[in-house]
Amino acid sequence: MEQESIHIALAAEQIGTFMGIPVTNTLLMSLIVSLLLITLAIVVRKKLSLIPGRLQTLVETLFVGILDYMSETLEDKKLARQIFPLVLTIFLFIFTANIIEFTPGIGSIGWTHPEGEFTPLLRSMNTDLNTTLALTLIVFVVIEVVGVATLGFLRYGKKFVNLSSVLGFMVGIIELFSEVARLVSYSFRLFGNIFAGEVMILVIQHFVPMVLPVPIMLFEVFVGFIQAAIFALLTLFFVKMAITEAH
Amino acid sequence: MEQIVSVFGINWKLLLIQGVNFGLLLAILYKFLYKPVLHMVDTRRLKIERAIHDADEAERQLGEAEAEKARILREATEKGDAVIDAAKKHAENEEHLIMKDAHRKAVHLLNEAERRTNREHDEMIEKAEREVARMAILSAEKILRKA
Repeated sequence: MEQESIHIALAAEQIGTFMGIPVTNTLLMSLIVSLLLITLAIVVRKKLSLIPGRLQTLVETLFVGILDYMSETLEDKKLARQIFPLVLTIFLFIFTANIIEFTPGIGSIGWTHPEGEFTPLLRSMNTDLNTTLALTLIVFVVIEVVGVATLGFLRYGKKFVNLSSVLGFMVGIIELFSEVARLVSYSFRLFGNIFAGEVMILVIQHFVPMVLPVPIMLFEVFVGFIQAAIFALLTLFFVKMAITEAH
Repeated sequence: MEQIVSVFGINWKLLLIQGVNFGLLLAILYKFLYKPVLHMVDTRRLKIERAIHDADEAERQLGEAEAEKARILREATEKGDAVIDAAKKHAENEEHLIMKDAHRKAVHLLNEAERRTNREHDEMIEKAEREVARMAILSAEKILRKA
């Protein structure tokens, strides 16, 4: 009896090239997620009225709740409104990608190369470090820009380069390191959680193909929600830290 | 570092396209979802605020009208009472006067009547006396003639 081995690739598989850009299955997936969200937005937009329907009530309650929470955290209503689209889009983008990751067909439809290697057409979006790193870079840039715009370049820079005392200088260096380390922790946290979930399901499916993967999938959907929330919340908190002056 | 990049398949083109994709999604969601929904919430909040303000205003006006009504009623009652009181007093006075007048008139009439009766009585007696005297004379004449 021939034992089929589990094939796990850290990098997303390339499924084609479009105008010189390598198209991977995760890139295709992120386009699908975007299209889903845009469709949802247009549906909500079309039915928008002063007397809200059920969907509108749900959307409004969520938005207002999140916006209120952000205003409370940032203690700045205007900034909260400016950051709101970014934070919510991050959440919706990651969350939608994570809840559809177990849709039948994703990861199972694809083709086998002559060498016996299987390439799936779609792959869960956040199991590609390119996606998470791209999101992290955007968030990083936004945090720095908000910090500089709110405090001014010199006062913001003082957080990292503090020449008033030796201790202050050391703290500044540590701040600078943690700022850069955030890039790594941010992207790898999301990538690691979702990738690990996929691998776990793959392994369990290999041993017990029926029933047992279901609760694990349920748990992974929960993890997907938590990771999306963490990514969005950390963005909010780091913005808050960026606009708080160093003492 | 090189190894990490190749193992995870990090590619700057992919990073860029993912970033652009996210940026595009953000822009579209902002235009079609966040902005209209929040605008709608704001519009509704404004409308409700105005409605509540209007309701308060109406209630205040109603209260004022009620107070005004009560004041007018009270004033009217007071005025009416005063008028009735005055009329009563006036009527009493008048009654008094009329009674006094009537009494005086009655007394006067009574006196008059008495006086007239007395006079007539005197006249009758006088007349009777005269008649008696005349009769007496006549009888005396008769008697004298006979004799």
